[in-house]
Amino acid sequence: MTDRIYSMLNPARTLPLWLTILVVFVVPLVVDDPFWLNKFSGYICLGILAIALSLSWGYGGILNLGQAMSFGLGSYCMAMYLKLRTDAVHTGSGGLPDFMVWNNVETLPLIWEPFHFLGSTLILGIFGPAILAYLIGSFVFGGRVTGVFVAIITLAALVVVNLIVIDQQFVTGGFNGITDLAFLNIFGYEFDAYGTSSFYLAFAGLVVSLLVANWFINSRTGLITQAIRDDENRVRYLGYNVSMYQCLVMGLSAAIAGLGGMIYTVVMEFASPTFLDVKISLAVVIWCAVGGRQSFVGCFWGAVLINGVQGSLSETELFLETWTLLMGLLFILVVLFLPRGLAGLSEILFRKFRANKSTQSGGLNS
Amino acid sequence: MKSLKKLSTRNVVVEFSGFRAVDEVSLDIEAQGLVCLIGPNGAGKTTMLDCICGKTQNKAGGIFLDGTDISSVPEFRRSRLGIGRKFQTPSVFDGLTVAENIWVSLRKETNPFSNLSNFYLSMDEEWVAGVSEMLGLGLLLDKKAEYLSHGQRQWLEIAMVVAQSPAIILMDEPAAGMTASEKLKTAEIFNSLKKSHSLVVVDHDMGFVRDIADQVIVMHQGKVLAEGTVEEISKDESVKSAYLGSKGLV
Repeated sequence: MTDRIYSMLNPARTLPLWLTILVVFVVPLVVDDPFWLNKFSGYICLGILAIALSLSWGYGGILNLGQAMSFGLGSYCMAMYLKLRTDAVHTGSGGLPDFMVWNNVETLPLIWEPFHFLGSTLILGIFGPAILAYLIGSFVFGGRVTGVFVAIITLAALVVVNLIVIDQQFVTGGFNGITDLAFLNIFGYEFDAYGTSSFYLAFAGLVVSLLVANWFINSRTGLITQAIRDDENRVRYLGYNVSMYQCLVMGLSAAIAGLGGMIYTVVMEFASPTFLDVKISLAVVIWCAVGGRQSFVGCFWGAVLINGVQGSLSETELFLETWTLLMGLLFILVVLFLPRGLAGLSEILFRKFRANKSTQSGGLNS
Repeated sequence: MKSLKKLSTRNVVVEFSGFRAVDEVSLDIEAQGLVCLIGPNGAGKTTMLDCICGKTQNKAGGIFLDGTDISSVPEFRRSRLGIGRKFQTPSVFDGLTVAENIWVSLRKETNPFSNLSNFYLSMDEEWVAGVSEMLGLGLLLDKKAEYLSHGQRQWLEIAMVVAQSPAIILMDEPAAGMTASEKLKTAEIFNSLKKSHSLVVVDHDMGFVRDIADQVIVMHQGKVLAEGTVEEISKDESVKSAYLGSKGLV
């Protein structure tokens, strides 16, 4: 009976979660090379983005193709904060960022003002994307848009934001993005992008995202959100305001993506329009499909695996020409043999392991 | 005890791009008892239920719950006012277990923000067990709904609707696809429900209708053709001719 209550305290159900946290935690003890540590920190941030999509797609049934919008906005927020921490090349400390000088801007644009402070930066980087996603959601779901049209509208919203960011060069740095940033410094502690400090910052972001996402789906709101995924109308005629639930899951998912984006900037030391373009937004869908979209941990590892393989293949001389083909092969194999992704694979292995164990002990446990 | 409510419709018209699916239908449903809505295919029975629960908007006329017109009230609010609806094809949540399906229907709190701090740990186990026991789903609680048989899915959806104890329960072909013994049990449950609720049931199976109906309303081409007890209806000549070709309805 109590098996049904899946709480975060139930160790059997949450084993993959704690295992993932443990494995990521020990990475810096094994990996010495700052280059690889930095790479892995980046993958963790992309993994957070995958967790965000898993929440809205896997659990909410909302295929949000504009997930990179939230990620990119978070990333720009952090970049603006870190840019204002630098000693400006032309105007000295506290002066205008270099690209603004090149663009003949004379005073700091109003939109940059909140980014003098870390607190307001964090609030804007997390709640900004959340509120934007909630608003887009209320238009989409309030108007009873469903299925593929949700994907098209969110994708279009992403493209609009992307174009605005590229177009408003004097505020955003245009195509170049915002580069040459200061290190993040919290209470005198400096986060070196190539050190363990930034890695553990990304790790902390991962833990927070995983816990928040798990907290959400274990709550009644999460249960009703999953019910909406399976049959929207049934939930509606049980007396729930369906669109409100959909907006909430989209907002929460955007907040997590925003958090991932902020940390990504710290790790990559720049923000660019490529963080909020269509390519990355579509890539997240593939990471989640490979990882298993109904598992946060699965999506995280899907993102890490694909980015890792992609990174190492494309940098190996032997596969310089063929690495995209190999990636394509990997996707086809997953779709054919693991329809529920890596998460499905781990479940199959776990069940086999249990079955073996029970036959060894004479099947008494079964 | 659940408060009783009286449902009535006045000259309800529903049009689908010019086609009148429901044509000036006025019904009076008592606050207690069971009304069966029957009629040939395309008579407008399901559309009528859709209209009452808000799935379809009526073009003219009014739907009154205890005298208040609810035609412009959104669906989820109509449900909260006490109109429960079971759909024709069983609509259950495939990815959730039977217990979770029923748990969704426990509508203590509807605000998503408040529900964030409401966990499975506080799950009202007894309540879920009680509901599932009543509808014979007790042994299936931990099974995912996607693995249920068609009849069991029907049960589950009925359980979800009945669990909310709405004053008016609208059932669209609840017994379709059920075995004879399953139908018998459904009839039993409906007969006990109608003492404290008002049920409107659409069904084609006259044996089933005979078992449960206090009153029968026959619809044909969007209009009410006849009203009365099962005996009166089965003698009615106009009803027989409406069913012509399907060898009568008895």
